Amino acid sequence: MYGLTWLALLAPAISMPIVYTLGRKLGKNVGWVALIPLSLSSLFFIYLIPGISNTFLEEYIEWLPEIRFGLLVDSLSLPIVLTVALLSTIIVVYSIPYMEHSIHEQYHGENKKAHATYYALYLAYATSMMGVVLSTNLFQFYLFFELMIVPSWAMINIYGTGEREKIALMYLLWSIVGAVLFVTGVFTAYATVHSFEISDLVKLQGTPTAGFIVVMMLLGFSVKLATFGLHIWLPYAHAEAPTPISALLSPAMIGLAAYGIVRFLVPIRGVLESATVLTMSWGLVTMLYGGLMVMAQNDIKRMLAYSSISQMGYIFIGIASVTPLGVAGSMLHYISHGLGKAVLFLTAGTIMHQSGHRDISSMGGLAAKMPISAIAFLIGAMNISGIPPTIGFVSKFFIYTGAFSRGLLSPSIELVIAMVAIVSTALTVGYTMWNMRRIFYGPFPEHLKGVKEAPALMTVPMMILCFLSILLGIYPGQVLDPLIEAVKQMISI
Amino acid sequence: MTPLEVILEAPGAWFSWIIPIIGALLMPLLGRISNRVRDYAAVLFALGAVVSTATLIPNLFSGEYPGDIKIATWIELPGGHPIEVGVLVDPLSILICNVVAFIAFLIVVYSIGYMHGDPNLTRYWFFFLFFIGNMLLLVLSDNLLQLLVGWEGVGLCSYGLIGYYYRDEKERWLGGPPPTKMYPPSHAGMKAFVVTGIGDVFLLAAIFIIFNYAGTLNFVELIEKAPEWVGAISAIPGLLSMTAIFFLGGPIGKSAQFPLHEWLPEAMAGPTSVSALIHAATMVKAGVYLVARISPIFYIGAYSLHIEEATVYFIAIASIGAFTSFLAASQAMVALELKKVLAYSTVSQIGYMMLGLGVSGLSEGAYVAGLTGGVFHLVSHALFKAALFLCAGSVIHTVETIYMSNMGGLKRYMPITHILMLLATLSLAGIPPLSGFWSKDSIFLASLTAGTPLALTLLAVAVITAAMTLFYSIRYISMTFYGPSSKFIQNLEHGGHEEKEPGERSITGQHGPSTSGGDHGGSLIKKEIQDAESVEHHAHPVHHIHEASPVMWVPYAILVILVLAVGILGLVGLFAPRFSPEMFIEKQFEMMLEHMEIPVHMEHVEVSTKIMAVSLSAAALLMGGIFGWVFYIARKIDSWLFVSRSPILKGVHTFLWNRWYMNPSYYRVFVDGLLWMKQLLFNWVETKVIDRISGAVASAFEAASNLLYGVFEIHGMESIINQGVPSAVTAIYHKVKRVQTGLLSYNIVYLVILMIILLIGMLWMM
Repeated sequence: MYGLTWLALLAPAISMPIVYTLGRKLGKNVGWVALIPLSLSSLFFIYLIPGISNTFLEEYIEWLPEIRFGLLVDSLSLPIVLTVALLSTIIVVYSIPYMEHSIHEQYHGENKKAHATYYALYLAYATSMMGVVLSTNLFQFYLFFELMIVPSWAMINIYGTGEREKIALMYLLWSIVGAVLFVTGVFTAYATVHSFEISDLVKLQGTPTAGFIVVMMLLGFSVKLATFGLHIWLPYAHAEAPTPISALLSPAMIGLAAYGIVRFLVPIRGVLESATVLTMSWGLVTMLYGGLMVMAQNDIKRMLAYSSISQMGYIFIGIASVTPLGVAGSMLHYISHGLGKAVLFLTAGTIMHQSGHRDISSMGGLAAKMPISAIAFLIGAMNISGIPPTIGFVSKFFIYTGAFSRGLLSPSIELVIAMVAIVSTALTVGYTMWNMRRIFYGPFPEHLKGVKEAPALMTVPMMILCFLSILLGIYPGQVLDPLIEAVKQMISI
Repeated sequence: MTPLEVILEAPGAWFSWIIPIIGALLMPLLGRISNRVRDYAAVLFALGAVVSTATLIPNLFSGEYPGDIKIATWIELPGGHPIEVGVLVDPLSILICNVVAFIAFLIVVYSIGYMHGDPNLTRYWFFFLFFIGNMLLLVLSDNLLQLLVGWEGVGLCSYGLIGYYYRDEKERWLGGPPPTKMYPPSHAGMKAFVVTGIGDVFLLAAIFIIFNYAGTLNFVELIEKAPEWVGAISAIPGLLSMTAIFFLGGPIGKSAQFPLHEWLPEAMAGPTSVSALIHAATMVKAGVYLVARISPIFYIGAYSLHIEEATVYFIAIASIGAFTSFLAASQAMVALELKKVLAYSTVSQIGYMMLGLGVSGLSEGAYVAGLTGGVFHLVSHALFKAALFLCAGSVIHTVETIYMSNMGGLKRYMPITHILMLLATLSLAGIPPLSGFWSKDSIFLASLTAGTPLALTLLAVAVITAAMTLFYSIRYISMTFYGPSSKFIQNLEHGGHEEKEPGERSITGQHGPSTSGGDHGGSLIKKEIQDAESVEHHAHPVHHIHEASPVMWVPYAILVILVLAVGILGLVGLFAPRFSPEMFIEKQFEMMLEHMEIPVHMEHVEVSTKIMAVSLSAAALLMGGIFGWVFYIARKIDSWLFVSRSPILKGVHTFLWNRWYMNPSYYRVFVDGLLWMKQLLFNWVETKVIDRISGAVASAFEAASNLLYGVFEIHGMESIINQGVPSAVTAIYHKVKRVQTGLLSYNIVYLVILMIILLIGMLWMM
């Protein structure tokens, strides 16, 4: 068994040269080759699910005297890494028709090398995201965290739309700002506890530097999470990245910062708890502001990008409550937002692919032409608005039960924040339904007369994601129970 | 016990909602086979639900019922209180689920005729069956979270079916006639979803508070443990009141009560069969059901624990109910669209139910009476209002106009529908001995039993509303069936279709909409039916006003027969109480409360109180009847002339016509306000501040590096170091530059090299 986790993690990266070389011959069809390592990783992580609540899996490689590289699959990291793996697997299939069209348009013809590069970068990106989740020490975490930026930057830079080079640079710079803040925290932590191991961060509890470390790391993560004030890069990057990458960037990658907060900072008891008013209001503002900004958008992908900011607000509130329910809810919301927002981005991509338009104001009545996309959009919208039977309902329920239980510990300003926050979730219902109507209902304009439903390679991935979000909504136990167990241990230490 | 054994304990309670949901999921597949198979399968699935719920009826008579049956754990919670999946079979749920399933079945049959030929029936049946399943799930759930699943499920179906004609063809629009604003169906669907959604988030907030204190969401456990957790909440002043009010937010939104009532009139944009089932008979009653379901908790709080704050729940819902019933009835008196009159009337009648449930907690002795009144009215209203909507559907189906001013004199064309609608209307108006009379009377009686000043005040409002109810009932029946035919009808009958330009759809030469039968508004508004997509109306290419087909009128005939039956039983019940439906329901609740071990103190109702209640009804009927008679039956006075002569009456009319200006103000404040705010934030904060800061920081660095480069590099370093190094750098630069020129492979090569170097470095350091 030993080494299998490493293999599962690195499989996509190892296959990069193969995919690249084959890609130069095969062109777009190399996507199917890229699917192999990705699905193998997914299958491995799925295989781990049944036993995960009792046991965990650790694999270490000694490197420098005080640094060992390790992978930890436990009941907290497994659901997250599985989400990343599954999303990458499903979206790579969607990429095949989408990138064919997009590369064709960009190079005015077939360009096999472009396909080869895309899938190679895609694999690097998948590995680095999974690596972030499984890392056992801060150094390794940071390495993967930075590595994650490179392929995504390259993909925005090469395959993006609009002012892609400028936006890619902006994305890179902001990511580095976040990383620098984070690293400051890491080194201070090392200076305090003399270890890079994540499990040793607990020892910071009660030390004088704990506050500083938490603040630094939290700020670093907040850049990635795009909380209010640090969010400006996100709408640009997510709107202009190629759509399959937006579907990974938006829910899967930025949410990893939330995972980081839960993994690193929540166990340091006493710090986050002392600032719940501040952090919860920050989450609330992010949620409200993002939601309002959604309504100001006319570009379909920018609209979804702002919606991600708002959703990160949900997650932030859950974590900020520092209650078992809230934190577990946030991690579950990572999954539900991952599935829901990916569906929405893929739908947006389908619409752009089929109609050639990305202005919402030029759309309308598309439900008649693209019924599967319309249903997928509706289910995605239900998921992020927390409407049953999707998993979003369960995660929303958890996040806000957590927020309320924080508020009710001693009725206080936190209770007010929780109430305003839950009432603000109506905004999500409002903007998703409003956009649903603008895109899919009403009479359709003349220029959309010839639009047809997308090919099966695009609709099937969307349907799978929808199916998963409903399946998990009805049977959340397999994922939720271990999550709660993990969080409970963390918070009750 | 294995799940199978659990299900077999009360199979009906499970199959009733599982069968329609499975049916809904099968619809797309069956649609592939053939449309006919799909349509009949839909009827069969609905029948399955009826049969399943019917198997629970014997429990009502035997006095023994299974209660809470849990089957599995849905979600484990950290506190150690799992949320389970289960059904709660008790008199309240048995009564309501039978009403729901039965009416749903009749309307499914009606839909076969009404929706005949529609090209999107698969979608229609999917939502319709999914609705039935979710509604029964909602009613039979044993815990709040599972109830919420059904609750949101029915909301989703309501959204899907209100916006059924999502293409927004002009003739599907609702509202008007111009200059009054008109709304397309997709807007109406969205409005319904969002407005009820606002109520739901308040409900959620209350659930969170309850869960935090009670540690469970199971109804039975909540009631059992009420003394502990209600006590704990009340330790914090104001929290229990807040929980109660927030909790009511959900029912208020779902059941379209003030201040969240504005979505229901627009919900009429869906097919009429949908309005009948979802927006009259069942879904909008979900709020009433939930208020009743949870009321024992607050009853215990108020009368066992003597917590003053617990009565807030009852005071709030009674006041809201009474006010809403008055508000909506007043709007029904001036509305011009037939379905909208019925919609306002639904809102108003649900107000009565809420009033009944509210007064139940105003005094200890009124509890059973109030509960009985509320639920009895729910049942009786479901029967007659479903019938009314189905009749209205037949009328609209035939005459192809939504405005009553374009009807008139339909009695001779549609005799069966006329007589059935008349009977149902009389029940709505509370004319004895029809079912509506008895159920309304039981609410009056409950208010009298409660006897507090508040209860009596609200009763007064309810009595006035009863008068208004009879008035608007006479008005719409008369405008539809009696009097001379409108010009519109004459044209339809003699000349077939007469097409008009959209511009002509306004009421010319009048300052307000016509309220007086055909002559004034005649042929002014007309639905265009040119669009080739609207197949619904194309069943009759040559137009002729005619009676509805039996597949349509038989369902509402059955409903009317039931209305009559309940009415006659009520009459018999005066002499032999065991036949009285009211007594029957009352006994059920007594049994249920006994089962819950809630001490109930029943007040003996004096005969004088009963007579008092009946005389109040009679007074109301007299008052409403006289006005209705004068204006609409005898037609002694033309109502529009009467109104327009007096500036005060005209003002009142405008006020009512504009729905007390609530709808426009909601749009102004909430919709426009939100849109204004987002634009303001986007223009000023996002673009002018945050975006600029990001840009400014970048430019600052750029400027700094330029400065350094200019001052330090060029003048300092450059002049010192000779040209050798730069030329090497230039060579590298040209290599690297190719990265940017679109030769993609370089990127990947660099990345791979980087990774290899890293890897080698790491291995070496090991």
